[in-house]
Amino acid sequence: MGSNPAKAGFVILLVMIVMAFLAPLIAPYDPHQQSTAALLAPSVSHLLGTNHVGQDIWSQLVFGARTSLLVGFGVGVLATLLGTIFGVSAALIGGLYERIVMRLVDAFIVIPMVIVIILVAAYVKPGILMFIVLLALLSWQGGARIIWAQALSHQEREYVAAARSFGAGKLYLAWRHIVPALGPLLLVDFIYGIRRAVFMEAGLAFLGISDPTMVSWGMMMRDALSFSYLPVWQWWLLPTGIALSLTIVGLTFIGYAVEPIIDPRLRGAEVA
Amino acid sequence: MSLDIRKLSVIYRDGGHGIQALEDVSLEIKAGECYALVGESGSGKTTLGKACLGLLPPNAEQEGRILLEGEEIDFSDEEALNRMRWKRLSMVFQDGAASLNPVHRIIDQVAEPIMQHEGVGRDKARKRAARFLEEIGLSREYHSRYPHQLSGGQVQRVLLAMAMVLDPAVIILDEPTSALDALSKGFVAEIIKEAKGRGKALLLITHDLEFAMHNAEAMGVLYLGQIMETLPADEMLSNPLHPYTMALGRSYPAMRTARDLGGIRGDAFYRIVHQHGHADAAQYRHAHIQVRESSHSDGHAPPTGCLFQDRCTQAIEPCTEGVVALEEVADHTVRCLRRGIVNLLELKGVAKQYGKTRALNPVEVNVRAGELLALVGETGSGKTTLAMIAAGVLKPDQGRRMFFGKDMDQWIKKDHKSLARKIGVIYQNPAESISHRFTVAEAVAEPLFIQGEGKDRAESTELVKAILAAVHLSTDDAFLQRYPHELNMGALQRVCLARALVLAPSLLIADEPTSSLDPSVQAKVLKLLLDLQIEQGLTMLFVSHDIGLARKISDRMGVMLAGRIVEIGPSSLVISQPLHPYTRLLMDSAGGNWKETNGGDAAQQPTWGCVFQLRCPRRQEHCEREAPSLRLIDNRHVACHFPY
Repeated sequence: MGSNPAKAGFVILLVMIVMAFLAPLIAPYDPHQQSTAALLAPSVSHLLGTNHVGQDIWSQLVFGARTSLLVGFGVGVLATLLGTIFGVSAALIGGLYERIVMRLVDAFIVIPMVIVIILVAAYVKPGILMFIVLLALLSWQGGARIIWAQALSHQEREYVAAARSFGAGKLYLAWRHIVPALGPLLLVDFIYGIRRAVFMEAGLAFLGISDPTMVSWGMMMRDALSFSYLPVWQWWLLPTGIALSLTIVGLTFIGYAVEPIIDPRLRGAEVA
Repeated sequence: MSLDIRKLSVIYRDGGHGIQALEDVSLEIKAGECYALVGESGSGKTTLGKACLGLLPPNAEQEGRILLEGEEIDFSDEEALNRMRWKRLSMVFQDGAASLNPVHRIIDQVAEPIMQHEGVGRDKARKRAARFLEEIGLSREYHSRYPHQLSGGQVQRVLLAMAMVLDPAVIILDEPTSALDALSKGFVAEIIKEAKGRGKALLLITHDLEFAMHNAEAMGVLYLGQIMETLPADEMLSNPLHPYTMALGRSYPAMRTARDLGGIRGDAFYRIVHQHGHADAAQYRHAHIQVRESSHSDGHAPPTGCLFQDRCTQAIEPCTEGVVALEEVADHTVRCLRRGIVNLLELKGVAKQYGKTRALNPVEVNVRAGELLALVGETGSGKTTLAMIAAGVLKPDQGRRMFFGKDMDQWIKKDHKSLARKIGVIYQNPAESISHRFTVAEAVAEPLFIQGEGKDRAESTELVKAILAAVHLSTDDAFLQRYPHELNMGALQRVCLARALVLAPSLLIADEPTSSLDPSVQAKVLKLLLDLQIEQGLTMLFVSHDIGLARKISDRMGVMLAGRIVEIGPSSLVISQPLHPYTRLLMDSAGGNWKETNGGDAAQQPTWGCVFQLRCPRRQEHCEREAPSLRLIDNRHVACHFPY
């Protein structure tokens, strides 16, 4: 993981995380605080100017990182957890349970996620927590299938067979042998889960589906777009778009760096 | 001409203690028959011989009746005894020259009983003695020598001459061959044969199992003064029923046995009977019994129940209680509650299919308690499948598995854990069978942890260290914290052995445990494995593609081909006279002698008839039509239409 893109990815992500954590310290204004000074150009007091309702764009950008990463990590953790639970249990338990779970996974994979979320959101008007759960519920399946396949191969290993022959139960095998062996794969699944969630969150917010109490990069871009006939896009749309792209690019770089771990040939080398 | 011993008991008094040398021994030797009495030193064999002649030391208390030619010997009448000795009942004493008088010429020693019993003069007696000595193969030039001037074989001839010169009806031979080389044993055999022909009854007391097998008709196995088994002599090695008989056979270097000498777990001991203030012998038997020194059971022999229980490979709870009586089983009598060696594991028609491939056709195998059964065969013959089915790791598609007399599948369903702790498994590749995330300590403690015994950390660490020491590994903390990839293959396989044994299983299943080791390490690991097998009384199923290796370690051997067992029986027989052509092929190939196999290829399998027909040198038309089934030939089972 010493490649340059990987390092860049880590730096970008680190910056974003710092920004998200220290948002109240970094942002000079409350991002929700409206004022009469609308659509101001960048100045010393408003680094990136203000938007159409007079909110400080820089502060919004900083707080937007919070939303983005909160959703990203939340969905990442939840989806990987679900994927692990279903993937590993399907592999270990097998039989009818395995068939049901895996067919369910297949079914979910072909459902277009965006449409489902728009429909659900239109009726439920979810808060951020609900939103995270919803995204996670709709996005664990891809990971689950890979985890299931790998768990199948791991449970054929002799040390798992040995543990079985000592009388080990399935929970023990999962916890002590299969999940630790899947570690690198889970990391990759987790990072891709974050990336996907960050992207989804922005996209859905751009379409108007978001928690109105949270500042979101997607929502900012949507607002900025309606004023595209003014020069404000230079300090409103552009920095937001760059922040989002950087986050996703950073996650992609990290993902690329850890991806070789799940390549069987490279994994062989890692074990030895 | 017969000897009939009924309920003979002998106790040697020693202060307040008594040593129980014989207990209720009954045996009958008919005219023209040789009865061999075998057993470890201290089992009471010689005491029995001496008791018949009334020659026990004064501190011995003898009970029971001995009938010579139907007439009870009265041991209180010393004069009658003197008349009987040499004349009607004689004994060839052990220790060779030590039992001769060193200051008399041998001719005089042989002539002495003639003079005493027949009242003839010295010259006449000498002439007769000389004639007899010559008959027995000692030429005249030696007759006037002293015992120390003779070789061991010549001394043995003198002793035999002394015992037989008066032509007694019953002769007791105490270790007549122990001082003799293999060639000199021949003349003793000759004399025994000739005596039997003349209707003598012979009691042969010996350690030499092979000699006993070839010269006796019946055999009694004595252990701590009790007869454990009586059996037809020629079945001693091929069909023992008592675990002690099997262990004794395994300790004996018979020519046909290929297996390394096994020994018997634990040590033999003396039975010491406490007096408990009672003076009469009848009370002794009810008193409890102790042992002098033993590595087992801190010096105490079993106070009740079977005497062999501590060293037995199949002892169960009831074996520790009451008195075990001799029972008739087939044409043997066995002193065992379980009526002889039991089948620890029975596989009845188990089969396994992977997709369209038949990995295992319905197979019947029994694994007997305490034995090492080897499964050999080429790659893909179904050995590992069968072993894993036996281990309870793999579920057969059909057939039943009985373990400890219980249905294994139901056992697995109900309580897999308790089954798992009774079966240890060692896998082919030691590096693969330990998670690379585990340290040595964690790997060895894993079975304990799984079985819910690893809770007390100090206790489990003690157990781990003890078992590591048992497999000759280091027990210091640095070693315990090592990871598998830091160890060499030999050490790694020992770690695997340790974790297979840490739960003290009854059955150990080893799947090619040494194939990834180089020969020197393999030798060490196998030696260790066999020692542990003996000392822990383990039953083992050993899978190997190497028939040369299997013959060195197994009691019985099953040869597998294309998911079938084609030959199974005592390893000594399978190796010395393989009946199935495939067994022969395996042996020839192992010996570097690769034969033409009719152009047949191992991967090719005929759809009809015998599976081996394409490679078989004895193939006939019949083989293409009908698949042979296993049948009993020469003490082993063979699936071949044209064996030999």
